[in-house]
Amino acid sequence: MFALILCLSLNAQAGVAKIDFVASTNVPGVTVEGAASNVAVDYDPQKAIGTVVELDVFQLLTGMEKRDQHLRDKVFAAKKEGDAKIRFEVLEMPATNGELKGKLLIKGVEHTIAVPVKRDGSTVTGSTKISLDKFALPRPSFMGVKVDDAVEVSFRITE
Amino acid sequence: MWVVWIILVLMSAKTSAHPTYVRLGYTSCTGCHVSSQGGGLLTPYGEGIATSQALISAEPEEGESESRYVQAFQGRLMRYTTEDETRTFPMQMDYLAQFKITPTVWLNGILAVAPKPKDESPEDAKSPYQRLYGREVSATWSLRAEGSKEDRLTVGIGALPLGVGLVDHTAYVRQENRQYVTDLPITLKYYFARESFFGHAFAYLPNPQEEAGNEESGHGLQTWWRPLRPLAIGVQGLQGETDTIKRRQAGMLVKAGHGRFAYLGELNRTWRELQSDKSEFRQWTWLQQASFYPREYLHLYASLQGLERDRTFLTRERREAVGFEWRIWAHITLMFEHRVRVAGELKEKSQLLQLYFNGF
Repeated sequence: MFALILCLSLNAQAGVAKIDFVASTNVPGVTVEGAASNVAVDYDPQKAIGTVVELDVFQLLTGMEKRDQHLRDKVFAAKKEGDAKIRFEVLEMPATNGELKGKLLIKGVEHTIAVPVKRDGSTVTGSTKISLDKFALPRPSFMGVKVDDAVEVSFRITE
Repeated sequence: MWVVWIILVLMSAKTSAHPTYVRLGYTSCTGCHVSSQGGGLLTPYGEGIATSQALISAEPEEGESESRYVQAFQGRLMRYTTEDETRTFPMQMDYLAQFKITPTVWLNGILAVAPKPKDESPEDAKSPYQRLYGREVSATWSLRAEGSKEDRLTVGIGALPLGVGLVDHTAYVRQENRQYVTDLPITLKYYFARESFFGHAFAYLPNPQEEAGNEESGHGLQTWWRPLRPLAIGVQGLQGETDTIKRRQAGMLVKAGHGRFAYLGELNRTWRELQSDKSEFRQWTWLQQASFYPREYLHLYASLQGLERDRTFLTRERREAVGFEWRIWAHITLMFEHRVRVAGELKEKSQLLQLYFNGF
């Protein structure tokens, strides 16, 4: 009974996020695309401020196992799950469409960022560009192809 | 001979085209291939991807500088089985090369040995040397390559930029669209790529190696639009003319994919007009291929290709196939295809087993 109550109370505030990213490179025709799906979020549309989206870099998948490994090793220096996490905490959330503000923490480097978002009921979508250099992350390269500094990140959070 | 083959295989690098890589976000070919049409020689990045995507994979070594001269060998050993016969024969042998005169100007060459005809009589037998021909002899000028913007001009002998980009002798639709006219004319090609579209505009003249009657001149366009990242929708058109026949072709193309799945589709309408009596005949051709990659090195697919023509002997034909491509090593791919060809009352089954070697 206790477990059922606990489960229901967790579900009452549980949300899910999908995060996509696209990194352009110095070579035309080559972009690196990836996503983290089903990221658990403590999200309540009535009280969105304080919502935290946290994911392990092992959740970032690009469709190629080798590329995922490079991403973890070369960009995040993560050897195993738990070594590197990305955390975003909502500070300001517009009631409708507008600008969301929050703290983005990647591998110990934190910056406040503003992201234009759209709110449709309990769903929030938005996209922004993140500078790798700003978060002290190296720009990965592979056989002459080097990722640009700005990585386009888009997300969708639902209840 | 086998020692030479083995050495070539050991030194080789992947050179085939993968339009199904749209599922991984690659829609244009220039990231991995030297040619804007895909296939053939690989860029260092393409070699790196091939090396890391094989069953026996390796971490490719980062080169300090790009070589001015790149070469490769590709060969295809085929075993063809029907109810009546089984044959094993070398299907394809090509030497491929690129020489960079400057970082933006380069020469391309593919020297090919035409396969020995099945029913060649001893008196007509030709040595491999006599069956040599230039499949690509061209020069490319890269006008721009910045970010997502790219412009290139290529002039010389080479394949027309049509179809979904399946580089394989089994590209039945491509063959039926051109029928007997050359696939390797002297072409001026302009390749363009922007953030969400890319393609080729081209004009061509007959190849002097081509037999009279097959010498076609014309012009055309193929352009792709990419509304979503894993989706590219294309249109293509061509107008050509030989001494005996005029043809116009229009087609629609699609490449789509997500994760381990990909889909390729092509639908073409061709109008032909005989110069002698101005009579017309029309044809439809189509291709669909659904792909599944359970592992990066294993490609399973099912394809359906078809033809419908309103005149001449054969009016309707369909080819169904299921198969796999197993990239054992970056340099070696084993392919199998089970085919059913249906033409009127005729139903013919065949199996193709291919061992594909490539590169230096």
